[in-house]
Amino acid sequence: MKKGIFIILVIIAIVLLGNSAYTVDSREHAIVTRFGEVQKVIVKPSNYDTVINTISSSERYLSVSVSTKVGLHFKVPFIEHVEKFENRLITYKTAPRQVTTFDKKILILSNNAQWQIVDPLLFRVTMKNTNQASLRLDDILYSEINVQVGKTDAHTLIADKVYIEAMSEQIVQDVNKEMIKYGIEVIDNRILKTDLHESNILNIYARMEAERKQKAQQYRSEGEEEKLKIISGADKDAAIMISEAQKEAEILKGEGDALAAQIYSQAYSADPEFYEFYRTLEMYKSTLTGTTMVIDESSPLFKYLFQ
Amino acid sequence: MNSFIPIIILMVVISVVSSIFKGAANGKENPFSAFMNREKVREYDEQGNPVNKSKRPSLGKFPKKTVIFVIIILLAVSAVSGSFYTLDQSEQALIFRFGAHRATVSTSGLNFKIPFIETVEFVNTEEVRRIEYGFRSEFDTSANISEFSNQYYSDVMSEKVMLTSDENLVEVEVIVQYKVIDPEAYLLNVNDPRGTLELAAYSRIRRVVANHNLDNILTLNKAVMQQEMLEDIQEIANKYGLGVLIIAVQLQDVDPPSAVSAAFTDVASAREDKEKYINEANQYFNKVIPEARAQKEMLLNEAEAYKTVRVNQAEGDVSRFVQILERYQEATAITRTRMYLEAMGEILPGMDVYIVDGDNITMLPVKGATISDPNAVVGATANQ
Repeated sequence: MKKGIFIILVIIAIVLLGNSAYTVDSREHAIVTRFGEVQKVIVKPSNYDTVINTISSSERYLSVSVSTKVGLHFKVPFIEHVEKFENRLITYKTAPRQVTTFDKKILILSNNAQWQIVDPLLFRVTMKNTNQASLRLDDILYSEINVQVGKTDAHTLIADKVYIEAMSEQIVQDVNKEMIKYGIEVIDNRILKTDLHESNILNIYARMEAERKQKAQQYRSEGEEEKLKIISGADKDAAIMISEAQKEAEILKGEGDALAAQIYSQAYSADPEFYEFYRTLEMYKSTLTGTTMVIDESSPLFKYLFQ
Repeated sequence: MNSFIPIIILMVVISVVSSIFKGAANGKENPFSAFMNREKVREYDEQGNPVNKSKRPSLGKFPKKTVIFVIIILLAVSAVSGSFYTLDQSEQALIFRFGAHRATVSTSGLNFKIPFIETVEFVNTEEVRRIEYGFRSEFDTSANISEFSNQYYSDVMSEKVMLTSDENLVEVEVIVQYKVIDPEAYLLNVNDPRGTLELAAYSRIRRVVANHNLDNILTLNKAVMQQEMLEDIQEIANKYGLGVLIIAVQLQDVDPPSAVSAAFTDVASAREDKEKYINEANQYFNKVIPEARAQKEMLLNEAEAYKTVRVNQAEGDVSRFVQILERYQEATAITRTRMYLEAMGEILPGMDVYIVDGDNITMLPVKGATISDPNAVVGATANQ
């Protein structure tokens, strides 16, 4: 019988040990509660000070002990319970939401944020779980985004990267003022997607098409313009070239005539009377052939014909 | 301290098991046989004496020793197999003892760990991983899409269509390639590293596209945009402590929206048209200008020729005149008469000559007058 009791004791010991031992992962915060009252917080080293501050801020938490040691731990079996929370960055993504900009345009924004439980004690007391935290974050983030978007023109919201970065930064700061009460810190908030309202998209397509047509027309007209420029330029150059050539040609011819005249006059001035006679005869030779002439019989030409 | 606890537990387990084993060896002291004995007490024979027979003879027939031995062997085997793990060359392993990250192992091959107490998570730090945005590539092993692969792509329109800075829409497909360079950061800092990186990449891709206007996106700025995206994504990854290195961001298809692609194609052909018109004009230019040049040369040559001809002619004429003049001055009257007559002799044969007598109208056709000319005939007759 003694052996039997020993065995039972061993079994009880194993069960108690099993309920007493728990492990905390490096990626978790853990909270040990006794009948709902927080006894112990196991926290990431970087968040240790935050928890210490929270504890010293309120008398409610006087009995809470803080540790940064992960791994195997022991608690009072059955009486104490362990709750664990993610200590890494948690991704949060909103459903697309309609916002109105300063210039009264409607845009559809999707956001994503990264947040982290920096104070598991506050988080445990105020939030219970991450789903509830997401809901709360959603409320606050959306209202902050609305505040900022309401101050911003649609075009800035779409295109101005620097402005948006600053705006996101501002939203994070404002959201954190609220979220820190819940032991949460938002690390980053980004506009994941900026979309236009369905009805605007067709307008954009129409505008894009019109713009393209304009552009196409511009290219073609520019082409025509260039073509005309080149052709008329060529015509102009050709006309100038030819007229210059004609001018030069006339000058040359004139020079030729002048030279000839000079040569002639130099020679002929030796005996102008003979020149006249000589040239007249030459002229007769070249012009009179094929014409009709009536000559008086007293003409010296016929003085021997009618003796 | 940490390493003592598992050893203590291991010892507790071993002592419990060995006490059971001992009990089995001693028969009576075995806790299980104690149970057996209690059952046996209730059985009696005809005489009312208790019978020393098992109610379950089948179990009794099994040697308890063997059963326990087998259990221990199984435990030992699983302990041994749980103490080793193999680490691929491309991987690093994070060792967690009771959940606490204890070490990161990068020596590949067979490695040891404490069974049951330590767990291992592997991260591939060599593999180039990829995020697709705007499309997904999938493998279909049942159908052969092409000769070489059965990979096919499907568009994700909700991702693909993006706003540009000039509030146009553009369809963009992007691939982000990355590698985990810090496995501790990758596993310990973010609860969903892959999903987080995807979101970061998506938001940066859209932001960078929204920072450029449509024409730049479609033509010039691809390399610039890729670099910008890469830097932005890396910056966020660092901010989140993801422990990844963005290797490359590659813009795949970047197209105008399919709804207006015809208009875009027309712009391209308009640009071609422009070139065509200019080429036509240049062709004309190349025809007209050389022609004009040729004509210029021609005109100048003609004029040059005229000038030279005139001068030569003049000189020739003059030299002839001068020579004749010399003779003329020697014998003026004779030469003059001779010249006159020679000239007449040359001229008259080519003319119709009428000789008249005083005021009479009688004419004598010297040459060339025909019978059909009544005046000529009548004139001649009247004269005779």
